[in-house]
Amino acid sequence: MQAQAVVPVSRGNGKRAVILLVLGALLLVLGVTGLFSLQGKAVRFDKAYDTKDDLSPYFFGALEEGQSYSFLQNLWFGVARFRLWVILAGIALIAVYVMMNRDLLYSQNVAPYVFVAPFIITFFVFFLYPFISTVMMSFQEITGAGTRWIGFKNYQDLFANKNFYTAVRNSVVYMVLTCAILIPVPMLLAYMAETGLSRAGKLFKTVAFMPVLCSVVVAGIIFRMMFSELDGAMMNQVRGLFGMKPITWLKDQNGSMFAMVLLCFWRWTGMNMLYYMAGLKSISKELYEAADIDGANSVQKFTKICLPLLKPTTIYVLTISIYAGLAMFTESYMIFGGNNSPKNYGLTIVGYLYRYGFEKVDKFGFASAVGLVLLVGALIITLVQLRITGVIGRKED
Amino acid sequence: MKKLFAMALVLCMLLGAFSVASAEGVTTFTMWTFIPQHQEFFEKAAERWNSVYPDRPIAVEVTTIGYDDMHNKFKVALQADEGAPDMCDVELGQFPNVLAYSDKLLDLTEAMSPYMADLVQARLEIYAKDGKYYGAPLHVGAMVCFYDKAMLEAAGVNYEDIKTWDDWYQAGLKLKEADPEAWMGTVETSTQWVASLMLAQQGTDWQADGKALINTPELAKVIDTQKSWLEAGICETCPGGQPDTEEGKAYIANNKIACVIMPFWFMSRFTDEIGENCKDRYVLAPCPVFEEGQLQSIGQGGTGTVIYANGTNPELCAEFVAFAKVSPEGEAQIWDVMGFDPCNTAIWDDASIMKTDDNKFNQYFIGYPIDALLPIKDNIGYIVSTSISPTINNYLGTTLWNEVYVDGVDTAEALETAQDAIDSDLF
Repeated sequence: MQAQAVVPVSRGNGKRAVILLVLGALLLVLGVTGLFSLQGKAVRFDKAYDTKDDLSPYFFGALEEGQSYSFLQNLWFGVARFRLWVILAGIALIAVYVMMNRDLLYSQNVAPYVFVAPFIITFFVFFLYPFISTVMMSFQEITGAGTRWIGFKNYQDLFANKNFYTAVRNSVVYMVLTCAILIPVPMLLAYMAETGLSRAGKLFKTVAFMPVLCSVVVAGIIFRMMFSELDGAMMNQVRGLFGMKPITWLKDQNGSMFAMVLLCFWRWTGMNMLYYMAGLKSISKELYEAADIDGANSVQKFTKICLPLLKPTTIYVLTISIYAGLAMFTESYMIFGGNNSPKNYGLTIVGYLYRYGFEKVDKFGFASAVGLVLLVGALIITLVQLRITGVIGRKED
Repeated sequence: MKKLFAMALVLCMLLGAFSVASAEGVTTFTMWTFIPQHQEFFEKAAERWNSVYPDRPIAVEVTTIGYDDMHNKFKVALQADEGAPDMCDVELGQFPNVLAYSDKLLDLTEAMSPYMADLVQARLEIYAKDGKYYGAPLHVGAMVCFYDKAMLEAAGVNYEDIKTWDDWYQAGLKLKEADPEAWMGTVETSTQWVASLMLAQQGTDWQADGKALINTPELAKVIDTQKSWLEAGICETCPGGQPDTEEGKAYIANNKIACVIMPFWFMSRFTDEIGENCKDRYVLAPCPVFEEGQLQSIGQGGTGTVIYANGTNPELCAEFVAFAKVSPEGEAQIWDVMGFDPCNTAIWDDASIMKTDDNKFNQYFIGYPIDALLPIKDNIGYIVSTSISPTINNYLGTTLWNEVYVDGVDTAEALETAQDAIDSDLF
């Protein structure tokens, strides 16, 4: 009885309320279009609308003498001005539609879409849209006066520019060095912490992890002072202990790279150790016991058991280190107290992008091209690396 | 209890509403600057404005942001035409970048016109485009030598006898003989205060007609002169790249430098940052020249205050900026609060303003600092700043100086590379 009574009612509601859904969606689209059509001039448009100022710079162009806006144009101004309310009204209508068709809330067809919606929306708004926009901008010249399509000129300029190669070289050298240091050292330390130093282990782990919590800005400034060229600076004092003369660290290519790599080493060893300790924990004790019975020493245990079984961890750490190395910027910016360093020893690809995108004017298009080249470069290196280590392209048989 | 709390809350809100209502009529301007001293200066100027024009009260909300950050944010805000403050202090080196958006800045010509006749014209021109003045100048920034009088006297040198760069060099040798640990001065590697002065003395500049002038005999002479200082061991390259950095100032505070060649505004760095260590040691004097008759100083550094044309009441804002920075009273404040050489040179002669004994700058240095500028008052040159300047300055500050002074690259070779690199970067 009950079921018979419920079904027709809900169907009837559903049919009538479709108008609400359509109206709601329409308002939503209108409101969002209004927001985007203002092209970032929203605040000033609102002010002009409220003070009944000239609205022609925003929509429809200038009016001629005696002409006035049509009803539809006025309506559009209203929609653009009260876009927030329009969007909210659209959402409210959709909500009403859903409330009138409560079975939608329990629908197995709809639920998955609702649950992935936050991710999908975030992905579209913050990843896909900026990415497509960057690709387009890299073929444009963007100035205060407007944008112009210029084909491949940005890329031609980029590959003809000497500093770009300096930046690429610095980033690649930095990436290689950090990978070469930040994989074996934390692995060994983690092994030691897990086995040999079991008593001092906890304190040791805490101390090693602490730099990770330190802000890179603070650390960068401290490193800048440590590597100062004054005789009293810490690193020059250290040289003094070995009877060496003070040097101008940050005016030297190797000295600069050393400072940046050391900062990275100091900051990230703890983090990578953590990854490796997690990896070590997952290796079962029986393997070690079996090795003990066979008479293996600790070096053999490390090379024959730990190393191969830590491979997944190593691949993960390598992958993130490659990208982090290529995308490094803040460390260099803080150590050199700005984006400019002697002979561009500290210039990285992202620093180069920043220089053109933000420090120079009207070079957003060029900076977009730099960003895309970085993306493609990092992608190729990572893919090659994953192919070599066998994560992708491996035959499953 | 809850009710009481709610009532108190409502009361607070009402009071808040009233206080907003009573503040009506006050125009509030937002402002960005990258120098903390400027914040104090503008807040004081707003107080003065309110006492002079009680019928048009204003308030200024100043935010101090780091140098790079502020300029980058301001440029992006101008490009987007959204989110810019009503006024902004723009540094000279960054000014050409900001002038690219001159259609979004207010032309200050009218607001400054009552005072313009008294101002150093060259300082207005650097903030101008197509005959319109967009920036209100702050100071002349005349280059001077800060000599450590006692240190030089101990070596048998009277600073007043140093007239040419050659005299300066000879004084350095004498000083080095008397005290092997002392240095005559420093050589800059990250900027070009001294190199610009030396170029201007030879009647040239970094650029002409939109082209970079790097591979020139004049610049070669500048470099060779400074190289000779390093080779003779009378100078070191400056820690931090130039005196106006943390390291540079710490280096000066060690009392081992006999001569600092910097613009006049560097005084405020002595009083505020270098501190007591150097008090009563330094005396200001005009700079040496290559040959008699050359410019003894040029104006360098500085900030121009620009006004965002789409901001709050830009016309009133312009009037306020002119009042604060270029009116005679404003200029007197610039000297009094910040110790800068005001653009209105008429007041340089006014002893009641420039030679008061309770002024902290007059107290810090030997004699009256302004005396160093009076003899050269009408003969202060300047360096051109255009849209290609940032690119040139970037190459000089990062690469050229390091090559010639640190790595010891041959001058002619370095200049040739520099010219090519800068030309190829100007796309």
